[in-house]
Amino acid sequence: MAVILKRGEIPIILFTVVSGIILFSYFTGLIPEVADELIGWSIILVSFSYILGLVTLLRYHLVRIRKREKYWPYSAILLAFFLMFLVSGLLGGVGGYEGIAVSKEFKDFLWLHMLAPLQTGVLSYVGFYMYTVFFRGARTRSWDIGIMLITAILLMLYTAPIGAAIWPGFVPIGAWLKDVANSGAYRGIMIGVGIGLIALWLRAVLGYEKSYLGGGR
Amino acid sequence: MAAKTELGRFPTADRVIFLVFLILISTPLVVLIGLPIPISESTRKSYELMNSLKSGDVLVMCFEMDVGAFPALGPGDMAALKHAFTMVKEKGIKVIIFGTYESGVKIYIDKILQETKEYWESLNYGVDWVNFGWIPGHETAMATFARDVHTACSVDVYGTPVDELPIMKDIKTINDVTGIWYTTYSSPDMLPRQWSPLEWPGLKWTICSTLFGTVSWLMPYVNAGSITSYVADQRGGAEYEVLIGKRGLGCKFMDAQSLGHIYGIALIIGSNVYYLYTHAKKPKRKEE
Repeated sequence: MAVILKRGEIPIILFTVVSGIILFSYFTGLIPEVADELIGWSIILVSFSYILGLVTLLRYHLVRIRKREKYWPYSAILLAFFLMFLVSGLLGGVGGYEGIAVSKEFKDFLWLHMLAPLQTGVLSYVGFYMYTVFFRGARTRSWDIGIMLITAILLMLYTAPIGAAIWPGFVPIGAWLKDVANSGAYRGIMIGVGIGLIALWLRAVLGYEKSYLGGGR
Repeated sequence: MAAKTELGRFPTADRVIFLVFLILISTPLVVLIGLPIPISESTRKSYELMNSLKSGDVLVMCFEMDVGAFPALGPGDMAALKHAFTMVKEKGIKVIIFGTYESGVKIYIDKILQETKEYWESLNYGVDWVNFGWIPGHETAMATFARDVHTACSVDVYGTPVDELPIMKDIKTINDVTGIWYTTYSSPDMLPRQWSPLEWPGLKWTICSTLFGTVSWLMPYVNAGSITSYVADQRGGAEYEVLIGKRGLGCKFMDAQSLGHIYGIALIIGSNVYYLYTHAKKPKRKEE
């Protein structure tokens, strides 16, 4: 029995049957209740994946702290804040309900006035690097780069109101670049991605693609 | 010349670039420039679609957002929320709010609702509008919502079962929804895949509010009709603020963006002038 359960074919068969049912239902409109049930299962599985993520994260950083690996204090800080947010979420009440052990005000402070500015700050940090790139990297070494830089300048003048204030012609030029030229390139990328996904699905069904099972190719 | 990437050890030129950038984008917070904001066709169309909602129509506002992207898409979402809640009061539309993305949806929704409190606090929660917070599952949750709303949205953020919410009584599938405002700071693919007006005859339109770089990604969907319209980034949010007559954060950001972009263009031009000048002085090598 144990040998049968360990066989690699079983997860591939499960994958093929489940994905086949959902695809069949999507394209034909038949057996929607079966497809809906399977989709419902996936939502439950997603919830369990968070628990798995939690265990993995805790294990990884606890080992780092125990072994005093390089930069281990960062792991300690991460775990401390992780636990603080976890406790505030679990005991801080949901929506209008008051928390059991943590006040809603404290929870809101943590989430809205601590986490939110930090996340925004991290994202905004990219902006500063971009301006360094403008100075260091945006140099016309070839015609291709020249075209790219002119396009970038036109789009920058299109998105900022000052562009239209300087010359209203920047608006239709920018709109054309965004809606026509750039979209054409994206359409090609999307078709490529779609074909790639079909190929990946076929490889998985035929048993050539096993990376999703955790065993590599 | 090589840039040192360790924190606090940037070359002097980079520090100067950062400092000037910081001063420029902070200036509009003190001194408003107030440049006129031309309204794009897509934002105007989005506004008109929202404004076309009538009494009893149902608007779904799905925010696939992380609070980190608030400066980019928050102004547009808040303007749309203000517009929606005003229509709840004036026209009697119904509004359903939630998000399915894994990262920070609940915090984001809390934040934009906190910022628009004056617009919804006098409304009847559970009858005029409802907030389901975060529904786990992302695209699978969206697929479930389309086919069976009550399964996807089983309880609201207060823990009230969906069957006890009067607003949800007649909303069983996505065909009972009139329009969707969908905000995403990542892939827009899920919207046309799961909630396309071409697939669901009851759904009249969908609007995608997204980052500027993503607009080109969703344009093929817009051209095909599986997304009806879009609002692009901070700029689209500012335009929406102008359209509803409530200038706010988005319009303030536009001044900062104008200065920032001009600074960026100046850096590109300055850098190229310097490069061409120094390049012209160097003897030409064969490889070049």
